[in-house]
Amino acid sequence: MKEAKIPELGRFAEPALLILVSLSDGPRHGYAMMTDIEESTGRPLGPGTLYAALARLEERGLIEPLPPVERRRPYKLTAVGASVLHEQLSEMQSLASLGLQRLAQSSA
Amino acid sequence: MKRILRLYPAGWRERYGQEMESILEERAVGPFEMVDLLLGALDAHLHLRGLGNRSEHRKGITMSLRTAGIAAIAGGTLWGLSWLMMAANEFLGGGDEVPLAIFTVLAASVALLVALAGLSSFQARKNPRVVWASFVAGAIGLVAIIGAWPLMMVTESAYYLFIVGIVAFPLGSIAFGIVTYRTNALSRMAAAALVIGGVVQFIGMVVLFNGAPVFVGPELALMMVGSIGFAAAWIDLGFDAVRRDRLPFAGSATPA
Repeated sequence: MKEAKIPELGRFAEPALLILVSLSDGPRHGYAMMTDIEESTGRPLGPGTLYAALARLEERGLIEPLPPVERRRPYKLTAVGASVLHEQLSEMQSLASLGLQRLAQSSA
Repeated sequence: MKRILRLYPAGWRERYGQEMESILEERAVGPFEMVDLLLGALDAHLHLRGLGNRSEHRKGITMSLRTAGIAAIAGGTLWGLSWLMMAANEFLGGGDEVPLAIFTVLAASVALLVALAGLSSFQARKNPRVVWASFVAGAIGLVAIIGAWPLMMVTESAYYLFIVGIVAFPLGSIAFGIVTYRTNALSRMAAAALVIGGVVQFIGMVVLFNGAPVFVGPELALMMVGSIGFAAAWIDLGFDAVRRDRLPFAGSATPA
């Protein structure tokens, strides 16, 4: 199966990335994801945007639902999702490192 | 507010309805969440081709700080411009610029209403009633301006409806500025400026609509200082929101 790329999610790429990061240390349900993302980014995340991104991630096999507990359904990262997340974050890290290196060289 | 979920497609509600309901029960719902859910419902109808099927449409519609920030910048700019136009028209004489000024304040009101909705998420969790009151005041102002504009061509009494329209927004913005300052959700300086600008503008409007020769001397100064301060505060809030809506890796703490 061709791996899905987060940027292909258009306007939902950033919420999707934040959701994958939120799930990277274990399963969470929707409300816990919203709280975790808002605490780490300082930006609000509405339930409409959250579930639109969750639906897209689930369609692409990057996350999977777990059995619900009292109307709250946790989600977990799939192996494909972890791989996509790792690739995405590695690209960001490479770019950040390159930029910082060049800044250091130009100021030296 | 859970009734808003009825706008989502049936298949969507079957899959995600209970989860979304539980979130709405746990969190105070403000204008931000309402707009976010409306956009989410629109997205679900337009883009979802059925659960489990790959969606063919990748782009979606979201409510974000960036969207609200841009709306605040645009709305503040248009608000300031509209009052400058009205002052220039009164000061220099002539009537051709008045419809343009009214149209500009109408456009400003639309943009500022979007901004108020988008910038109010954190404030609404601690002060939902005040946030909703400020949003409703803005909405009433917008409806009043829309209603007054065509009526003013028919009857002079529609002028009072227009007055309601342009007074409602500063009042709503004062309340919004107070809760924003208290929750520290956005720049406190901008929030304070919004309150002060709104108050000064409101006082200026009271002077204006009590028949004072407002566009002369101190009354003009009061009106323009309030209007420009009010507009500048919204623009400042907008830039602050856009600045905050950046990649999360720079890090920022959740408001108190």
